[in-house]
Amino acid sequence: MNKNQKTAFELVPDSVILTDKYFEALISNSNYDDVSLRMRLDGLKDSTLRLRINKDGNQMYNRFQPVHALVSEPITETMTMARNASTVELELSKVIKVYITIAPFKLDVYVNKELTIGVNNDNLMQFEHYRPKPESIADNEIGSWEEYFKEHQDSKPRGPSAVAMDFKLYSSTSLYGLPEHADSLALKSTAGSDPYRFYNLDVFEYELYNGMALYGAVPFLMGHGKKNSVGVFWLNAAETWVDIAGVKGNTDHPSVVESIVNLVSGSSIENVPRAHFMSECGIIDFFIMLGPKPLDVTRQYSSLTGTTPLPPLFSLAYHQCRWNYNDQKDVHDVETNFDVYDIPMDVMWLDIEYTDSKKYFTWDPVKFSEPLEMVNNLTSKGRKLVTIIDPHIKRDSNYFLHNDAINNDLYVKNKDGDVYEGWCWPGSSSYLDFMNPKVQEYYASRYSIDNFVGPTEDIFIWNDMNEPSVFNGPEVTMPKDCIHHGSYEHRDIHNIYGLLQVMSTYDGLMKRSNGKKRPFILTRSHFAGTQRFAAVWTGDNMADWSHLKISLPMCLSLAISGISFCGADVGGFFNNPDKELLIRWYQTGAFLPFFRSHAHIDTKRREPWLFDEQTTFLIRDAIRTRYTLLPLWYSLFKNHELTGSPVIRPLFFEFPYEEQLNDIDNEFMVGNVLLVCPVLDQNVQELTCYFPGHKEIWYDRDTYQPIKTNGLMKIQAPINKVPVYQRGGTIVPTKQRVRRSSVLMKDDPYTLIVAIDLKAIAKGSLYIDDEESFEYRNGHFIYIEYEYINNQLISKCLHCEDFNTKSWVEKVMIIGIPNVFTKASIQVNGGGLSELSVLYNTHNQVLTVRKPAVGIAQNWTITLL
Amino acid sequence: MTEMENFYLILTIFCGIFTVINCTSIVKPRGIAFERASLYVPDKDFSCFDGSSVIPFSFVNDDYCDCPDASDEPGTSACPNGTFHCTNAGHTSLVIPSSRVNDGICDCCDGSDEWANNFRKDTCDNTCEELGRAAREEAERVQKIFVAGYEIRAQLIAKGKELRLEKQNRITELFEVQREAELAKNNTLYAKETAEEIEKSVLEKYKVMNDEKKRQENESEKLKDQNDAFEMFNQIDTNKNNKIEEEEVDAYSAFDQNNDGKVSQDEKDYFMENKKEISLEDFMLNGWSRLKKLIFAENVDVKETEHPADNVDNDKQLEEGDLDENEDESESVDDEVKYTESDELDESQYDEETKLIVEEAKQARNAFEEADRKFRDLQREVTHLQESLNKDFGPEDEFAALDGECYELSDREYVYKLCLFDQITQRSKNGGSEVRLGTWNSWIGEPKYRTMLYDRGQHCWNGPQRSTHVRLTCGLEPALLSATEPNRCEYAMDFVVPAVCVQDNEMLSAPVTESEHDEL
Repeated sequence: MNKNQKTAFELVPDSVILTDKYFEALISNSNYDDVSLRMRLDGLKDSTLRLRINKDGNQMYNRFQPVHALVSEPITETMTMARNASTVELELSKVIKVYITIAPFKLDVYVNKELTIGVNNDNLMQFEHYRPKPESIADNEIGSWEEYFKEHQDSKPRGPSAVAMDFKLYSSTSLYGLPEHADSLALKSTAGSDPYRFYNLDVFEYELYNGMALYGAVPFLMGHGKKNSVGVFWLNAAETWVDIAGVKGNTDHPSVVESIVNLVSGSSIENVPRAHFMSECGIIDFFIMLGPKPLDVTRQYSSLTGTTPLPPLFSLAYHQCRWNYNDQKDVHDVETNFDVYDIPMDVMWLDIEYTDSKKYFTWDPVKFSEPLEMVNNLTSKGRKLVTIIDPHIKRDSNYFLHNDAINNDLYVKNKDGDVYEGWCWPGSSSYLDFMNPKVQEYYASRYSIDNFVGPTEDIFIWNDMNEPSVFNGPEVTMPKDCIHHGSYEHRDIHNIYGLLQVMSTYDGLMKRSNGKKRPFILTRSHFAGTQRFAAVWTGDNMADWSHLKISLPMCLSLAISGISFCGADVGGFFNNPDKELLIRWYQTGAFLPFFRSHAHIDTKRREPWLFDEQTTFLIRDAIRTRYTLLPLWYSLFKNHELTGSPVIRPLFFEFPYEEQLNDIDNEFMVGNVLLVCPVLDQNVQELTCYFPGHKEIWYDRDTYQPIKTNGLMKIQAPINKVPVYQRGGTIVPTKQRVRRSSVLMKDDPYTLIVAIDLKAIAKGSLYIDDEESFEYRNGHFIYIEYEYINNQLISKCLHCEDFNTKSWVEKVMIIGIPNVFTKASIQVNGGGLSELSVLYNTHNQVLTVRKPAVGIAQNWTITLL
Repeated sequence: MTEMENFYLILTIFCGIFTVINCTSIVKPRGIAFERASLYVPDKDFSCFDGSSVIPFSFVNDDYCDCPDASDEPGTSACPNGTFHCTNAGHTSLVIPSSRVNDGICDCCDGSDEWANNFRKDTCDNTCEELGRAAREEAERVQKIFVAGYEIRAQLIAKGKELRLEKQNRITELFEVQREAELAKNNTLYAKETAEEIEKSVLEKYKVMNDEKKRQENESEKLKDQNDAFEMFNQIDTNKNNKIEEEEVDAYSAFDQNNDGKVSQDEKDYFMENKKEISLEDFMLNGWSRLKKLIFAENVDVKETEHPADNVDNDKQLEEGDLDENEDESESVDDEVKYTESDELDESQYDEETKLIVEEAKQARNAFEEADRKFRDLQREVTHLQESLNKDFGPEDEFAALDGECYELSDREYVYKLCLFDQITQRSKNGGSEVRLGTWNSWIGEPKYRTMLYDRGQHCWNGPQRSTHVRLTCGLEPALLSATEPNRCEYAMDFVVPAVCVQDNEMLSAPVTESEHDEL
C-alpha cells in the first residue's frame, strides 16, 4: 500500500439511497476514475451500526467475507435519516446520531450528544481493487505481486487487494481487546513499533509485552472512558495489522511525534485514542457497538458473534494434562494417585502420543490397546477423557483418513492445484480444507462412536495445531497462495482455519449424542465466534513468573472479546516450575475459567504429590476451593450464555467511572462477585491490592474480615494465602463437600455465603440443571434468586417446575452483621414457621444459620430474630 | 424425576437425621469402629473431641458439621476433613475420607459407605466375603513366596559373607605378592635406567652424525629449489632482461590455471601482485612461492573436500558420547610414541659393541615393562577388590552374590539389560548402538535397600544425562519385570529378587494407598 499517495474517497451524491433500514451510496476514488466502491450502513438492534464497503460491480476475484464468525444475520433496526448538500444525518434508537460527510467521506457518531467515535477521520481508508498484473511493476508496488520470506516465496498471483480504515474513539481514554497478544490489558500506542498483528501462528516460546501475532485473532476493539464505552469489530479473516495511537506507549511516555503534534496543534485532540485497521484482502466490513457501558458493549458484540453455550459442568472443574501420559497404565496410575492424595480431578488428557503414529482417530495398539477399559476406569469415578485431534493428516496410504481425503478431494491445494504437502507431527502431512462443506460433514462424522473406535460419549476433544501449524511453511504455517474450496486463497481465510475446524468438531460431537450431550472442545487457534464452539487456552507458555502474570491480561482480553472460557497451562508448558511457582500458579489458575495443568514432554513430572507435603497440601487446597465454587462458575457461565457478560472481567467493567482502574490487569473480577488479587511474583509475603468502589465492602474469603478502603492496600500473602474477596452485597452459592469429581457432587447440599453491603443488603442467584445435556434448553433447569434485606434471607425459585434435584440448603453464612440475633425461623412455601439455631462468631462477625435443611428449589424465607 | 424419587429424597434426609436417635441403643454410630463406639454416649450431650463445643447428641451424624475436628459426623459426608470407618466383616476394615460417603461409588466392600443410596436396589453389593477370601489367598501366596524367598535370602547372605571374606583374604594375599612385585619393579627400573644411560652415551656420536646428515640434506634441498626457481625465471623471462613483464606472463601457459587457453587478468594479478614487472630478486623471495601455489592449487582443493566427512564422524561420536576413556590405555599410547622417536637412528650403522649395548638396554626395558605390568595388574586387582568391598551390598551382604549379574527384558522396541551394581543399557531392536541408561550410584529412598539409583548415563539429545531407578520387590528368581520412562530420560524398572524377601521391610514398602488411609 502506498502511503504517500493520499487517496481521497468521496460519496457520489447522486447515488445515495436512504431507506428506514440502511443507507447506501457509491464512493469514488480520486486516483482511479473508473473504479467505484459501494458502501452500505445498516442500523442494527441494540445500538449497533454495520458498515460495509466493497467494489461496485464485477471483480476479478471474489472477496472473502468470514460470516462464520457471526452467529446469525444481524437484526436491523429502523433509522431516521435526513440529508443536506454536504452531510447525511442518521438517527438510531433516539440517542445515537451518525453524521456522514460526503467529501471527503467520513462518519461521526454521537451517543447522547457525546461525540463517541469517528470513522475515516484521519483519511486512512484504503481499498485496493483487483487489477491485471502490469507489464512493469511500479516502485511503490514492489512486493504487491510477489514476496519472499526467508526461503519461502509468496507468488501473489492476484496482486494488491488491501483494505484499511481508521477509527477515532473520542470519548474513550483507554483501549482494550484485540486478542490474542501477550500484552497488557490496556492496549499501548504502537508509535515507534510494529502494529498489533493478527495472523494465527504456532509461535515457539512466545515473547511477552508486544504486539506479535499469536495463535488467535479476534479483531474486536473496545474503547472506554468515564463518559461511555464503545466497541469496533473488524470482520476480516486475512492478515491484519492494527496501529494504536493516542494512548500510552511501551515507555509510558508519549512518542516524540505525538509530543510535537500536540505542541503544534496546541490542543489535546491528537491524544484521542485511535486505531487504524489494515487487512491484506477481503472487504471493509465493521460493526460499531455503542454501549454505553462495558457490559452493554459485550452484550452487543455477543449478539453478533454469539456466546459460549453453557459448558458441561466437568469442564469447569480441574483438568490434568501432560505431553504425554505414556500408556493406559500411566493414565490409571496418575488418576489413582489423585484419589490417594484426595485431590479432586475431573478430566485426564491425552496428547499426541496416544495415536498410532500420529494418525488421529486411531489408538497406539500397544500403549493404548484398551481405550474403552481406560475410559471406563475414569468414568467409574465420574471422570472424563480428552484426546487431541489435530487438523494435519498423515500422508500414509495405509491410513483411511488420508485415503478418504485423496479419493474425495478433501485437501487444501497448493498454488499449482496439487494437494498441498507440509510437515507436521506425523512427518509428511496434508491439510483438510474445512472451507469445503463436504469436509465439514466428513470430519464431523469421524467423531461418531462407530468411526472413532473405542471411545464413548465420555471422550471430549482437543483441537491443537490449527493455525494451521506447518513446520516447514512460511512462519510455521501454510503458504498464502494455497487454494481453498471456493477458489479462495489461503491468505483470504487464514485466520478462520481453526474456527472452521472446531465448527466441524462441534458438529461431530453434537451428532455423536444425537444432539443430547453438550460438547467440550479446547482449541488453540481462534477467531471471533470461536466461543460458540470451544474453550481457548493461551498456548505454549513457560514455567516462569512472567508467564503466570501475563495469563491474566491474556484471558481478560479474550473475555471482553467474547471468549470467556480461557485459561493458561498451569505450571507453564516449557521448562520446570519450582514448587513455589507451581503453588502460586494453581492458586491463580483456580480462578480462571479454564483450569488445566499441562507440561511439555521434556519437563519433569509435576503431579501435585511429587514435591513435598506442603506443596501437595496447598495445591489440593487450591483445587478444592475451585470445586466449592463450582455453583458460582456454573451460574456465571449460564448468565454469560444469556447475556454475553464476560465470566471474568477487568475491574473497570464493574466500576466504569473509576479511572484508576483502567490499567489494572494484575487483578480481576469473577463475575460481579469475587475480586481476585493473586500473588504473581516470587518470594512474596505481602502484596498491594487495589480495592475498587467508593461505597464497597470487600470480605476476605478466608477470614471474612471486611475491607472498606477504596484504593491500594497492603495484604499479607504468605504461601498459603490466596487474596480473594467477596463483594459486599452479593450472595455466593457454594458446595462444601468436595468429592473426587464434580459429578459426584451433583446431589450435594449448598452453603450460601451472604456478604452484606453498607445498607445490609445482599443479592445473588443460582442456576442448576443436569450439568451435561441440552435438556435445559427445553426448560429443564432451576433458577433461584436470593435476596437478603431487613434481616431476612429470601429464596425465590423463579424457574423450578421442570427439573428435580436432591440438593438442599445445609448452611447459611451471613457475613458482616452485628451480634444481635439469637435464633432464626424459616418459612417454606408459605407454610408454618420452624425454628433454626444460629451461631455467631464474634471474631469475624459471621452468623451461621444451622441446617435449614430445605430443598434448594423451594421458596423460603429465613428471618433472623 | 418422579414423585416417588422425591419421597426417597426426603426419606434420605430424615434417615440422616433420625437413624441415630431411633437406633442408638441398638447400634454404634455409623462410620465408627467398634473400639471407639464408647466415645459416643447417646443419653449425654456430645463434646467435640477437640473440645471446641458441646452439642446435643441428636446432632451426631445428623449430616451437619458442628465440630471443626469432624468428630460429630463420623458417618456422613458433612465434614470436609472427616473420615468414615467401614467394618468390612469378612475382609479388612477400611478408613476412607468422609467425602466418599454417599457419592455413588462403592468404596467399602460391605457397602456401608453408600448407606443413603442403598435404598435403591443393587447399589453396592456386599463383596467382603469374596474379596476377603481372595485377599487371604493372595496373602497366603505372597507369604509362601516370602518364606521361600527368605530361605534363598539366607543363602545369599551366607554367600555374601563368604565372598566378603574371600575378597578380604585375597587382598591380604595380594598385598604380599604386590610388595614382591614392587621390589622386582624397582630393581628392573634401576637396571633399565643404568642400561639406558650407557646406551645414551654410546649413541651420542651416532646422533651427532645423524643430525649433520639431516642438515646437509636440508641444505641441498634448498639449493635445488633455488635452482628450480632460477631455471623457471629464465624460462618465463624470454627477453632475458632479468625482469618478468606482463607480456611474458601472458605467453607462459603454466599461468593459465583454468585452462581456457589464455592467462586471465585474475591469474596474472595474483602472480604479479598487480605490479607491472617482477625482478629476479622479487621472484626468488616471493614470486616463486606464489607460482608454486598456483601450480599446486588443485591439490589443496582435494584436501578441503575431505574435511566435512571427518566432521560428521566426530559429531556422531560426540553424540553417542561419553565413552569411558581407560586411563591405562591412553598412557600406553604415549609410551609408544616415545619409543618410535628414539628409534629414528639407523641401527645398521652401529658397530658391534654398540649393537650389544643397545640390545642390553632393550632387554632391560622389556624386563622393566614386564615387572611394571605385573605390579600394575596386582594394583588394579586390589583396587577392584577394595571397591567391591566398599560397595553397599545391603546390611547383611545379601546382594553381594548378585554383583555384576545381568538380567534382560525385551519389550516391543528395546532390549533392556540390568547389570547389578554395574550399569543399565538399552538396545534398540532395530539396530543401532547400545545406550547406557545409568551406572551404579547408590541406594536411595525409604525404606532403604529397596530402590537402586543408576545415573550418569549417556546424555539425551538436548537434555540431561540418562538415569534409572530400579525398584526391588520379593521374588524367588531374580528377574527384570518392567522398564518405563516416566520422565524424559529418567527410567524406572521393577526387579524381583529374593534378597529383599523380608516381611517387615516389605510392609514398609507397601503401596502408599494404605499408609495414607491410616493417616486419615
